[in-house]
Amino acid sequence: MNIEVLIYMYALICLALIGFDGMWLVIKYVKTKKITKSEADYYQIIENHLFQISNDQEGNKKQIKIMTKKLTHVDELKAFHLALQKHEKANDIESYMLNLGLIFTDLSQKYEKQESINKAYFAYVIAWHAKHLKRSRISISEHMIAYLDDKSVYCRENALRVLYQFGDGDYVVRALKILDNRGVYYNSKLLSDGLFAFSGNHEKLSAELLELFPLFNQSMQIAIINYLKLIDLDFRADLFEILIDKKVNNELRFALIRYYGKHHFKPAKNILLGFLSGNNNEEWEFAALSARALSIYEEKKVADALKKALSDKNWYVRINAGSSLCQMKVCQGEVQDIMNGDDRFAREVLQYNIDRMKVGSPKSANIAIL
Amino acid sequence: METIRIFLNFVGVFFIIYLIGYSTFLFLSVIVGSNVLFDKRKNQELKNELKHDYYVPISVLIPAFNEEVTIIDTIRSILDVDYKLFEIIVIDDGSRDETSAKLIDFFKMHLVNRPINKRIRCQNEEFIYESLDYKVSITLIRKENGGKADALNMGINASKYPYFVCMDADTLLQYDSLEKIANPILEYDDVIAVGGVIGISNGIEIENGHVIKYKLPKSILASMQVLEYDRSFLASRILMDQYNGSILISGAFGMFRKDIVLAVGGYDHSTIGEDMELILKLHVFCRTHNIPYHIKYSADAISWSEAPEKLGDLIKQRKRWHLGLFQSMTMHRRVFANIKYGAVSFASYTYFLLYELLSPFIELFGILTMGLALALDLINIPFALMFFLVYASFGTVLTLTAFLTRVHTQNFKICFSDMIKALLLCLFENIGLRFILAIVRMTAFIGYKEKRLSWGEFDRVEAKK
Repeated sequence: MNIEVLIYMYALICLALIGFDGMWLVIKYVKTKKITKSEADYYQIIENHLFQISNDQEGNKKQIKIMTKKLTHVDELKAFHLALQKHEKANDIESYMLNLGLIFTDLSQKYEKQESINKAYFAYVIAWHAKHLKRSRISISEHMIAYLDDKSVYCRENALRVLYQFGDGDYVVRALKILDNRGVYYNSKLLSDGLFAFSGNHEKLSAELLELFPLFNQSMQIAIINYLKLIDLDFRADLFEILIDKKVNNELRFALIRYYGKHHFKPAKNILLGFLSGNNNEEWEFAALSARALSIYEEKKVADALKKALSDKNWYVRINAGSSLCQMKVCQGEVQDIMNGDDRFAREVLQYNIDRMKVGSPKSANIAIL
Repeated sequence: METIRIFLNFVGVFFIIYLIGYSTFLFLSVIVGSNVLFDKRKNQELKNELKHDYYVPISVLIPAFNEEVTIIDTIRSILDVDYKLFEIIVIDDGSRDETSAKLIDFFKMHLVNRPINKRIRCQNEEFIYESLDYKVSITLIRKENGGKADALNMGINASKYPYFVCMDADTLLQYDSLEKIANPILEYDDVIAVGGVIGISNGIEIENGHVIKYKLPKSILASMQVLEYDRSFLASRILMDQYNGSILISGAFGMFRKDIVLAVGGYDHSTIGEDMELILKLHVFCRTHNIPYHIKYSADAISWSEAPEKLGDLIKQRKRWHLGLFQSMTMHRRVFANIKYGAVSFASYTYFLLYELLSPFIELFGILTMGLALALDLINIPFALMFFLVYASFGTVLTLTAFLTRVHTQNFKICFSDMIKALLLCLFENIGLRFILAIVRMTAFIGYKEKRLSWGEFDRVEAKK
C-alpha cells in the first residue's frame, strides 16, 4: 500500500471527526431546544395534575401511562426532572409525588436494562426527589440494590445516594455488604460521608453496622469508624476493645485514635498517653496521632505528657503536641520552662502555635495533619 | 553512485516508517482524545460525577520567581475555586522584584516563626508570612534562590495535607479545577499523581474562576500555541492515560500524593525538566518496588496559563523544555526498551525519544539527505511535493479536529472569524511554526551549562478580568 493512501485514510477519518463535531453541535442545539420544549410541556402537565389534586379530582391515568413510556428516554427524564424541580415547593407536591412513586418504580426497572450512564442519571433524579418518594422506597430500593452491580462508579454512587436519602437502614447495610463482598474498590471517604448524609435513624443504622463490623473488610471498617466519628452518638465503650487490640490493623487503629480525639473517653486517654510516651521510630504514627487526639483531654497529666512530647525525636509528634497544648489553652506560665529552655525545636513549635492562636482561630492552629 | 542510491533508499524507507509511526500516534491520540472528551461531556450532562462536599485535603504550592505582575491574580483565582479543604503556599525563590511585598501587602499577612520539617533537601527560608483572613490559609515562604525544583521541595516540606497541587505563578485555576483533579483519587485506589489540562489564557476572559469569553488570542504566535497545545498535549496525554503511560505532568498544574513524592526524594534539583523527571522517577520507583499505582490525567481539570507572545520568549521557553526533556530522559534511560516498564517504555518513552527529543536531528538529517538527493538528481520532485502537501494537510486536519473537539466539549462558543483564523493557522502552524521550533530545539544545547538551573522568565501581562 502506498503511504499516501494510508495518510489519506487517516485524514478522511479526521475529516469525519470534524463532521462529527459539526453534527454534534447541531444535535446538541436541537436536543437543547427539544428538552426546553419538553420541560415547558411537563411543567404544564404537572401544573394540571396539581390543580386536579387540589380539587380532589382523579389524575388522568392515560396521561400517566403515556408519561411513563416517554420518561424511559433519558432526555425526557431530564426535561421532567427540570420541570419537577420548579414545582418542588408547591402545596400538593406530596400527593402528586405519591402518584409518581408508581411511575418511578416502573422506571427503575426499565432503566436497569439501559446503559450505565442513563441508569446513573435515573438514580440521580430519584436521589434528588427521594424525600417525596419515601412511600415507594421499598420497591425502588430493591432496584437500586441491583444498580450496585453496575461497573460504573457513578451509577453505584448515585444508587447509594438514593438509599441514603430514603433513610432505610436495612437497605443501606445490605448495600454495604454487597459492595464489601464484591471487593470492588470504593473510597472510604465517599462511604463515610454518604453514611453521614443518611436521612433515617442513625442510632439504628450505626447499631446494625457495629453488629456486623467484624464481617466487613478493612476499608469498609475504616469508613464505618469515620462515620461513627461524625455522628453525635456514643460508641466509645464499643470501639475501645478494638483500639487496644494489638492484632488489629494499624490503619484501623489510626482511625480509632482520631475517633477518640473527637469523643472524649477516659479509658482511651491512658491508651493514647501510652502511645505518646512509648514512641518508637517504627510506629511513630501512633504517637503523632495521639499527640493530636489528646487535645480534648484537658488535664495536667496530659499537658505534662504533651510538653514532654515537644522534645520528641519525631517532627510530627512535636508539632502535634504543640498544637494540642495551645488548643488546651495551657497558660503561658505553664510553658515558660519550655520557652526559656534549651530545646530549640520545642520552643519554636510552641511559639509558632501561640502566635497562630493570636491571629487565627484555635482550630486553624495546626500545621501537621496525618 | 550506487552506494549513495542504496543509502538514499535506506533513508527513504526509514523516513516512511518514521512518518507512519508519527502519523499513527497523532491519529490515535486525536481519535482517543476526542472520544474521551465527548464521553466526559456526556457524563457531565447526565450528572455522572462524584460530587462531594469534601474531597481530599490539598496543599496548593506555587513556586514564584519575579512574579509581581501575576501573583496576586493567581492567588485570587485559587481563592475563587469551588473547593473546601485546601491551603495555599507561595514559595518566593529569592525574587529580585516585589513578589513577596505585594503578597504581604495585598493579603495582609503576618510574620510567623513557622518550623518546617525539611524531609527533602532545599535552600533555607528567609522569612515566613501567613494570612488566616480568607477561606483558606495563605502562607508565603521567602527562601534563598535555588531554582523551581528547590522551591517546590520547600513547599512540600511546609505543606500539611497528604496531597499537593503544584502550579505556576502565572496559572489561573478554573472554579472546578481542584474538584476535578481530585476526582480520580475517589475513583481509583492507587492514584499517586494526576495531571490537569493547561489552556492558554491569552485572549480569554475569566471572572471568579469562570471563563466568560473564549476567543483565540490576538497574537498569531499565541494562537498557534493554542492549536499546538490541543494537538500535542491534550490529545496525546489522554491517549497515554489509557494505558497508565503518562510520563509527563506539566509543572503548571498537577496533583501528587505527598508520601510517595517524599519517598522518591522530591523534585530533582539538577534538572530544569523537574516535572517530567518526577513522573519518570515515580514510574521507576513504583515498578522497582512492585507498588501498584496509577498516574492519571484529568481532562476536565482545567487551568489557564499565559503563552509567550514574543518569538524570543517562545524560543527561550522551548529551549528550556527541550533541555528538560533531554535531562529527564537521559537520567532515566533505563526505562528505554525495558520490558519491566511495559507500555511506559515501549510506547511513551519511545515516542518522546523518537518524536520529541531526537526529532529535530532526524528532521535535519532528512533535509540534508534531501539536499544530497536533489544535488544528484535522485529525487522525484513532484512526488516529494505532493507527499509534503498530503502530510501537511493531514497535520492540519488533525490539529483542527483536536481544537474543535476541545472547544466544543468544554462548551465554549467560538465566532466565525475565529473558526477561519483557526483553519488558516492550523495550516501555518504545521508548515511554519513547527519547523521554527524544530530549529529551536536543535540549538537548545548551546549554552546548556549556564541555563541549567535558571528560572524560565518571559514578559508577563495581567490577566483580563
